[in-house]
Amino acid sequence: MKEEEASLVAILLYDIGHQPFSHALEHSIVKGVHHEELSLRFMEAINKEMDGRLDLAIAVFTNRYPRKFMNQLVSSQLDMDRLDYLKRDSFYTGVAEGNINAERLISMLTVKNDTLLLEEKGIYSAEKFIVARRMMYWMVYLHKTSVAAEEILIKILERAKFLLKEGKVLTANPSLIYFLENEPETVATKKFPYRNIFRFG
Amino acid sequence: MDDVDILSALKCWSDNEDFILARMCTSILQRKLPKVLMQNEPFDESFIENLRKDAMKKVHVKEADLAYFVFTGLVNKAYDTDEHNIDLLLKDDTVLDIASASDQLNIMALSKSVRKHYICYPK
Repeated sequence: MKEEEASLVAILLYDIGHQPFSHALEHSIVKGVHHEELSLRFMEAINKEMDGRLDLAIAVFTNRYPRKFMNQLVSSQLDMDRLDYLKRDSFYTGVAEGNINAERLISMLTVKNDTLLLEEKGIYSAEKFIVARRMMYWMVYLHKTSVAAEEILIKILERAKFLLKEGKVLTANPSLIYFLENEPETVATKKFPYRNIFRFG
Repeated sequence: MDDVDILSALKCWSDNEDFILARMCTSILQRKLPKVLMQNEPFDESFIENLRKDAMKKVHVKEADLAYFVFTGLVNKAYDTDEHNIDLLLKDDTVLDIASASDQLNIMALSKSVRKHYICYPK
């Protein structure tokens, strides 16, 4: 029961550290910090407020919990994040090629020696998942128009930082202005102790 | 903060007295995005230089600020071995990775990493 809650919490909060426009602006607002490190900071802060109720979830998230398959649910080839974002992005972009049968894949999951595995009969769903992911990369995430728009977003923030440094006044949410003016590098100095366990995206 | 904070900033800045900031914000808000070319090889220096000259005439900026309007980059999608190591539990209780178990994936060049160069310039 506690383990179930911990897995759910870890899956739910896994990406809470994403900044606006996620990967596109990952290095424009808070510099030099991977979003998973920020997720961990949020989880630690919430944990303090909740008197340690997230201890187990944090252990799962940082892969310090002995039952390794629980971390694989949060971060691996077949993690819940990937199943979720493929379905969601395919729906919202109208790129039907990215749709997958997440329910089927989840029901085919199994565990052996603490490792997350897929039952043999899940092979076709898994093939579909791999192909769908590849399609989404080329048709959506790395589509030339999204690449161009993301680049411009990055350049807009670059320009805004430059203008603020010149003493110009810009209107925006005060939190955004704070990060643009201060580039709080101090956030990045605390080394992330579990970095090597994380994989991008 | 979320996407909304950025979008609202773009709206505020779209008529900023700084021409460069205003133009970039407008280009996102009105979906007037630059031209993009993508190819496997890096772009020719002389080709880039020509686009820079054209852009100077179109957007009237100083050469130092041209980098906001003409820029190149690299899209890198590495399909590392990691990419498709989903392990299957077979009926005889052995474990096999999907790349070996699947006849469909074997024929696909999934392990090849793909690099593409792109260049953006004003329409």
